[in-house]
Amino acid sequence: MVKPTIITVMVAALLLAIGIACGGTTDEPSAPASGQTTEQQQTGSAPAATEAPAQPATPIPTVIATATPSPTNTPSAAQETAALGGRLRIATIPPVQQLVGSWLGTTTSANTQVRPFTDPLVHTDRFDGSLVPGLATEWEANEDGTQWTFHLRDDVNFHDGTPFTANDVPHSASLIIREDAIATDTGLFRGLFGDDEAELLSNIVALDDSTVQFNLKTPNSLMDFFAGAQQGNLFMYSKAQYDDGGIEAYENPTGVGPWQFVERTIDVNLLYSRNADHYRRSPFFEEMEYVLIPEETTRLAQLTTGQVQIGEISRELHTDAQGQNLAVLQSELPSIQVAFIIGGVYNPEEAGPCKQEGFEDCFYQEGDPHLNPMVREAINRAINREEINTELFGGIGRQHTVWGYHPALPGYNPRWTEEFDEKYGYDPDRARQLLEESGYAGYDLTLLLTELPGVPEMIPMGEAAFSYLSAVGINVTTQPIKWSDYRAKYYRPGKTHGTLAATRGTYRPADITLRFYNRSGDAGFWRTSVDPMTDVLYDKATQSVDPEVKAKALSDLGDLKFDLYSEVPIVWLPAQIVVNPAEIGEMAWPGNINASFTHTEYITPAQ
Amino acid sequence: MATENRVATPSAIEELAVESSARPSFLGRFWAEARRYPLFPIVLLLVVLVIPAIFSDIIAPHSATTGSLSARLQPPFWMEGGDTNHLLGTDRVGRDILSRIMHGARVSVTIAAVAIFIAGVLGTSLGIIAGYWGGWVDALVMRLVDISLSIPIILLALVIVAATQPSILNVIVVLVLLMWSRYARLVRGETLAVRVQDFISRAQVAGSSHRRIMFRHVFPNVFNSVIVLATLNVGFVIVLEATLSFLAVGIPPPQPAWGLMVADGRVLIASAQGWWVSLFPGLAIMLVVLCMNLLGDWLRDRLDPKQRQV
Repeated sequence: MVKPTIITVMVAALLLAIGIACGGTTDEPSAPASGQTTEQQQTGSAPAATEAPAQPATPIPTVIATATPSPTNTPSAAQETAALGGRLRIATIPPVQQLVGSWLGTTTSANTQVRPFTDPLVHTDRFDGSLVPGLATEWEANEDGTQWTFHLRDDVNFHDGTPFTANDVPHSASLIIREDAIATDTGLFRGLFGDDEAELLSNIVALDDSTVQFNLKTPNSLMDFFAGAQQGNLFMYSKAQYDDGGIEAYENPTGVGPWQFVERTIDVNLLYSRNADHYRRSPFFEEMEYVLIPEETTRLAQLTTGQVQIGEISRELHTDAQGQNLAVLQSELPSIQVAFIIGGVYNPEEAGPCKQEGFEDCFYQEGDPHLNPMVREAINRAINREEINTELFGGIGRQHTVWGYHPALPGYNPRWTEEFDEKYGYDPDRARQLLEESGYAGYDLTLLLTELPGVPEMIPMGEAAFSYLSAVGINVTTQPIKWSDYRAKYYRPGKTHGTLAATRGTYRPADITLRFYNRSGDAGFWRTSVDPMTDVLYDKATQSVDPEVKAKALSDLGDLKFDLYSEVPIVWLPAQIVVNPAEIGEMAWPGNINASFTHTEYITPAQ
Repeated sequence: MATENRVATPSAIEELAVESSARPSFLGRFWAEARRYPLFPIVLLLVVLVIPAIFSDIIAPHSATTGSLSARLQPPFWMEGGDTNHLLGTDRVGRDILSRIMHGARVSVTIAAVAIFIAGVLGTSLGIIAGYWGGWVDALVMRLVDISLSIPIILLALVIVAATQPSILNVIVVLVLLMWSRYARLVRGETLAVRVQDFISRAQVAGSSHRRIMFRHVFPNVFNSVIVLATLNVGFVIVLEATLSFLAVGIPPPQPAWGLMVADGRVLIASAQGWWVSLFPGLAIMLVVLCMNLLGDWLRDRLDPKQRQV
């Protein structure tokens, strides 16, 4: 028999829960943080932030020769007067790969953990995201884009005192093609420079101590982009350290970055100390520590209690953070493009047995509903982008018209902006009609739900898509899947038929994105190809160093993608970070580097 | 010592008359009878679990899997911004939380019923066989039980999901693999005690087959214990299913499962803008598990006096 005391406890628990629930109504945001305007807090803009430039980025010329540093990288007034801070503590999500060797993980992992202690050849401006001199003071390409020459500074030392020379460059590149390498650029570098170290070293040559030449096996117009490591892994490691201690020496690597690597504890933290003699910018803090905290609410608690000064906090908690006198900063440029990729759209030339062992009937298949442009349009028409942006992203997103393309990057066609509402606008009735007319009403679609860094809204967005697509009569089933599994089981072997998956990309030249998503054959990953001309135009764009030819090819390729509904573009987002304005003065980062934030050496303490 | 005066006085007679006239009413007798049963957990289980599980298609006010983003994170009706269209508010994609809890009850009941039935049948059969036969059969079954009990359940779930995908079937498989050994161990012990009883010997002398003895004579004598364990296991299964779903190795979204709903709102659990996303499914789990345990305790008291002494 139930004892009265037990009933009393249960009733008390119920009342307590209701009491807690009712208490939530009084939790109003407190006053804005000192130095932050309410408007800034509402829009999440940085105190010193500027809007993304509307003008197109500088096209890549055949010859680049910039001898003077970019004025935007010179110290600001705040930096001139900033006092040296103590330890800068940053609460961050544990990276997918915890590493100090850039060849051991993705570009995101490398840019987060390696970039502080060693530099790539080419620096990225922290405001406009352009490539500016760093270790390389100037660089040029030959007419056909098969040979790139970089001229290096001769006054840079590694943290252990040994000089940085051109010989460190081919050595660093060779690390990326090691057998144990799983870097984003491993395949790219093998294709450009050679499958083994000997071949690579014959193609990347130190002409003298301060000149290095890259001889490419195939023309490529983006070598300076790869050397800038915005989306890559080419960071400088000391050949002397390797010669002394082998690959194990890189457990405690020296570097040429503004911070020196001190120590790391897996799943706990990474610690760096200030390089007081950096050629570009010595940090404004004595030390910097990444505190690795998987739980969102714990990161926020660390921020509110002053245990860290900067934290990666998802947008859903920004209002709570602002209510506790924290400020939300955002990157200077759009940082992340979000879209759904329509599976099963392969190049007809890839029909037939699958190339990978263990898979059959993959790639192009006649009769796949997604091969029909009307079905792809129906999917696009069924999705309410405005609602997603307003409700899930707090309205900070900007229009995204063609996957891979941004209005400020080469190859963008303004027609896409003008015609977007007409061709892609939310119209569920039209979507139903298209499905009926195509004969695919009620077809089966698998919606793959994946979590990806930088966009915590991925799963809710996928679940919202479930509602949208179900509403137009598509028979949707969902499948949660890790990105690594998706890569291994679906898009690498060419088995994406009947799927729709949300994905994210960064702000980068369109051909980088297209290489991953649209190029067929072994060069591509996803291989979404709405037209056989895709490959032709892609190759034309990537193999030309003439900016006009390149932009035209990219634009033509974008036209194909836009008119044939290649993907389901959703929104462009800035990167965002939460800081304690009582302790952080100035912080600006471009957002076009594949990481949550960068340029930590320019962060100043509050005065 | 003075002797008590037992002579009936007029006042005592009046008291007796009042007592006899104050015999319990129908409601009073009903209440007195009802107090012999665990009414509170039974009623609560009916309200939170059983009725929603059976009738969710009829009584749930909204779809459990689809919602509108424009109705996202609406608070419960009694809070500012809430309305009676969504009594317990909405989640991060605008789905009605009350409807999802109701449909989630069906998922929980289905999984608990199927998993406990399969594990119970498997474990009871093996337990009776092991206890009745003894020898190497007993040793083999008990070693299998030891192995089963030594498997870390979360790790097993992760391995199965890594090899396949999250699904209800996987959850049931994991739960059966975990639970059958509990039944086998309990029933084997009970069987060891039963098989030395006189009526078993008499049945053997009378020429009954082993199968008949096991299932006509042994099984009825261990059945009560199995029922008690099964009842107590319901709460355990619901918590475990919720745990697996919380860890994204259980029920795949957007299907409504209580653990998944708790996980969905964990980012907002300390936030003024969405604490209800996790709270109400969490409360449902708590109430159901508590009630099932109370019911199990009561059943144990009624059906298995031996265990009551433990």
